[in-house]
Amino acid sequence: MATPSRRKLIRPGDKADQLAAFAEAALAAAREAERHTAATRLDISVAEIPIRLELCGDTLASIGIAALSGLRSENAHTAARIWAFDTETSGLEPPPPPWGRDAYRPRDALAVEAPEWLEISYGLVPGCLNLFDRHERTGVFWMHDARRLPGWQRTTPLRSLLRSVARRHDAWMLHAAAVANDRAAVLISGRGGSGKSTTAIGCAIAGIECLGDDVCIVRDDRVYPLYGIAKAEPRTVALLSLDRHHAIIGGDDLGRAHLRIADLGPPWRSEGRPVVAVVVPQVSAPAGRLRPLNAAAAVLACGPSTALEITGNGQAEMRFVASLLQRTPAYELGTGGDLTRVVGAISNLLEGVR
Amino acid sequence: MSSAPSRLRPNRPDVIDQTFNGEAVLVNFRTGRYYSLDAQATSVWELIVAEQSPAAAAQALADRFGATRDEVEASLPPLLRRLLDEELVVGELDAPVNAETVPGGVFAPSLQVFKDMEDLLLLDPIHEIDVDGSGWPRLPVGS
Repeated sequence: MATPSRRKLIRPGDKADQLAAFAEAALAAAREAERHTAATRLDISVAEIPIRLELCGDTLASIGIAALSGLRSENAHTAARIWAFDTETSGLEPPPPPWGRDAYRPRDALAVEAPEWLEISYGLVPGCLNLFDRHERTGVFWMHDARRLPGWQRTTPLRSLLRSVARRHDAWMLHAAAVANDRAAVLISGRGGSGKSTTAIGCAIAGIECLGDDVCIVRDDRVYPLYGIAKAEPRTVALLSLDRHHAIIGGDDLGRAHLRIADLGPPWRSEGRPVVAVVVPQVSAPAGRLRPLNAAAAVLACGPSTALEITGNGQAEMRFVASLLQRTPAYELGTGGDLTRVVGAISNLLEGVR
Repeated sequence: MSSAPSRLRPNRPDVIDQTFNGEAVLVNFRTGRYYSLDAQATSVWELIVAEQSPAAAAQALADRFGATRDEVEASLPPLLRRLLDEELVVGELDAPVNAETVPGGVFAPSLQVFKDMEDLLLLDPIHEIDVDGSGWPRLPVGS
């Protein structure tokens, strides 16, 4: 039996149906923007999930390509399709939102009664809409002017939508750095400023593959990279003499340098590696010292940072982190002092030596 | 254990929780704070989640942790006050309680607060929103 289109089912007075109509109109605007701007198509594989990106306009295309082209895929099948457009380039925008100013919540959340098939969020800075239709497997990213996208967001474009797609496939976006060799991966998780990025970048320079310095995807206990750009504080740039590696491609308004991970060390590869350990950097502990961390302490170190950093209700991510830590040994890793000792400790974990 | 209804309930959806090896981790999305509860505080939290009254379960808590009922009854109110003050639960206490009261004895549930990610949310300009003619929010220059 043919399924009636959602548009025919829409009841004008119903809030969920108003959102459904809004979502359809936003998607129609995105498709129109694709035609208007001769969009750049980028097919990528995120944790082996084939996703087609339609990047409308030069700005969004260059941002997407810089951060995600390392995941380029030739897969003809597409599990989801995402359009990214802005009004400045396309002259198009979604209809006025069917919610009021009181609906905006922290962490890009919207207090709206969305139908179960629709995920919707709005980031106030700089002002961007994320909309994902779980049934149709289509996503829309929209903002007024993509040139206003802050530097720190340019390194992680489409994060909310890629998280939505990944979750549908039981793949989990974690706030963690990750490093790997051919056979294994180590997650580096913890609070901001604990040394995740410095450790991951230090590993890359020492010849260990860096899968990401801030965000990665875990699926079936394998760690996959997502974004090919790392961010380094000025002290990390100085400590590791990063300007000699010709990897700096820009910076952001927070004073951090942006680095192309592929230029730092070994080739950046998109395939997943089994996670063999989770380490939590501890700057007050001697460099390279590994101490087993009980799972509850590890959940405390890893869970909230992922839940708070990732858009949306993080309950499912918290649950996933807890389950992962039931299967994976966790360690506190001292990062105070000589970075070569820190890298050596991680190398030992990857090689199965403790 | 008593199933008397509690007047407190978790502050959903702002608060999420995950219990692991008998210890709960709570995250408050409204404040950006997160919390570690020891085993005793986790038992109290689980009662609240199950919509049971911790006070009505005082004897069961005492039996479980080898404490006296008096110790549990003395320690519960400050913990519940703290949960309320941290906006982890909503509802009402039966009587005013000073959250600074330090519980003693065998039953001394503790809640550790972590504030290092507060800035992440404090920067969110949700109170500065203005809606323009298009219906989309505009932030003041400099936000």
